[in-house]
Amino acid sequence: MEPSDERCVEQCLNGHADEYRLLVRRYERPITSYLQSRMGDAEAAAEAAQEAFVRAYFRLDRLRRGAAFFPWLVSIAHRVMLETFRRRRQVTSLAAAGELVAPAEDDMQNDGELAKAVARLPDVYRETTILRYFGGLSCAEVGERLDIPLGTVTKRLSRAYALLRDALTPADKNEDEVRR
Amino acid sequence: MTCQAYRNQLVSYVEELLDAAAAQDLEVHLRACADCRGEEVATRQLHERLLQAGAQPIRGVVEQRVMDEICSRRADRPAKLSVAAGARPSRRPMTMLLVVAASVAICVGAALFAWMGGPSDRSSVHPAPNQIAGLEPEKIRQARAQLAAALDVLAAADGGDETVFAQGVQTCLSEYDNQVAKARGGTGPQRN
Repeated sequence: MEPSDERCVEQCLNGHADEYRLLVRRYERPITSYLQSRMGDAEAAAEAAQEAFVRAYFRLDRLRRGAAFFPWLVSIAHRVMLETFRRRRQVTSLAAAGELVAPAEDDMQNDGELAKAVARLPDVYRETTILRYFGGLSCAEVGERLDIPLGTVTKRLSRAYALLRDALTPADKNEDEVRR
Repeated sequence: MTCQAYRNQLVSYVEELLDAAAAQDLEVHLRACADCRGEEVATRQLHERLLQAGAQPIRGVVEQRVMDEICSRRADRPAKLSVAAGARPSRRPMTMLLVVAASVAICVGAALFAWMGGPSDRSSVHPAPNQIAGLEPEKIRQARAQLAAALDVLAAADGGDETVFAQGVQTCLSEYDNQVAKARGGTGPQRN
């Protein structure tokens, strides 16, 4: 049986860095896929995922004892992604002649709108949604990974669906456009 | 069951997690309730959209890149504290050497300055070079030897800071030698 996330974190903190490989293997798919959906650029997503994992490793001592690794990792990945967007905007603003224009977030061929809505979900719904749909896990596997019953997984997903549908309704989109 | 109770089952239904009896019960209700049928369609659409969003092929795997990067960044830190066998010496010992050399240089420089006479005591009687500033001759010689040794090491270093500092040490040593030569030749600071 594979060790839990918490056990892996403990091992890493005790100097067994190679244990981190298991955490990376476990979460690289959901993190990279989520970032790719959000960023629309496979290579940028892979780089952001790599940076998120590396940052997380060197900050493991800041993870509260007993706190879940994956939602914490998602929040780090989210920050890395925002930093990437900021850098892209700076590059875009500097490239006056248009020779060095980074792809804009909204111009990419991806469901960025959905990914944005997922990003705004409260942590428990976001982690469940990412693991299920971006991590390619079944609901049962999500339950095992998060150590929660299958019924809790489906309840969280039901709530996540409701929130996502609210966020994705045309009325909200119009309000967003007015705010811009 | 209420419509809300059925709607609460919709995600489990599209995820095909309901048992046969519950699924059949829900389907009967959906055939009879247009509102819930609309909810079922919306839920299924979002489900497909989520599956599609997560189904993009990802480029490569980051596992090895992450582990390599971690090793690389970890290697940076201990490298400053230890020197692996056969590896290029880290810069930390050089930094310590610079501190020692700087201390010696300051000591010798201060002694030279006192020996040459500061503005306030230029008219006072100065001791001979081998009795300067209260330092014993042996300590002066040791300090000079340490500076010279530091200079040899610094000359072999390839860092910009070390080179600049080496030039400073060399200047200090030359000045010391000049002053000693002048004193011995009677061209040093004049005594009253």
